[in-house]
Amino acid sequence: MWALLIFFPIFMDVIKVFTDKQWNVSKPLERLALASYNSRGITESNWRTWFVDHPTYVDLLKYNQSGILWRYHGLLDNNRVFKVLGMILLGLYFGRKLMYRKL
Amino acid sequence: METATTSPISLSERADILDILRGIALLGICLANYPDFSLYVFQMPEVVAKMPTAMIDKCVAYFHFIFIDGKFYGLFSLLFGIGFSIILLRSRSKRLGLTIFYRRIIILLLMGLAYVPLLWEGDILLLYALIGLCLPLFRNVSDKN
Repeated sequence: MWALLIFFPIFMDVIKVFTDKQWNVSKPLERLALASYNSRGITESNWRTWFVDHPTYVDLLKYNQSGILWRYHGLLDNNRVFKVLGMILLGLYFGRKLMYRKL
Repeated sequence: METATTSPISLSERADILDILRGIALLGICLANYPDFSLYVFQMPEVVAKMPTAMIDKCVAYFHFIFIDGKFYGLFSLLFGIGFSIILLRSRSKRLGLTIFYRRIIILLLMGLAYVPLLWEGDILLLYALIGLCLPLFRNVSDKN
């Protein structure tokens, strides 16, 4: 199971390459995140300076509301969710076998 | 009595190697996020190019990308799994079920839920908590599987 999850990103990336990135599980989240950013006036060209014009804590809360979508798009896009679950299951196996005691 | 059985692991029982590795993983994750924490990523490219340290910054950025960025969460995830197995082993030997585990995961989940909207979008606690909630499904799976 853990090996399947750890190597799953290769399978996902192969699909991305062969479909020219058209088939991507994180695409819907990316679209949602971009729509959310745009609705707040945050664009590709001004995201770095947006905080200069919007310096309050309430603005940060708004930025983070869109940011969470972008964050989870990123976590899915780079297959981190599968890698983390795979490594956790591998850790579970190491822990069961008490392998860390031999280090 | 309850507090004695659910208390944290004693110092003599702790595995030093796991604590050391946790420290290394946390330091690595902290360094990986430093471009964000230092607000360096918010600088416009033309401003970065004009900085007196531009050349060194470029070298540091390559070093960061190759050796630090995304290189420590694997270790951290592995340690999370080992920690979970230790909690399971202790819970089984003391017949506590999954009480301690769920208590810790719920605290992590609450921290993640508060962290994302209130502090920083780059949260990871929520993901670990959500994955952690699924882990009890794997506790009775054989080692072979």
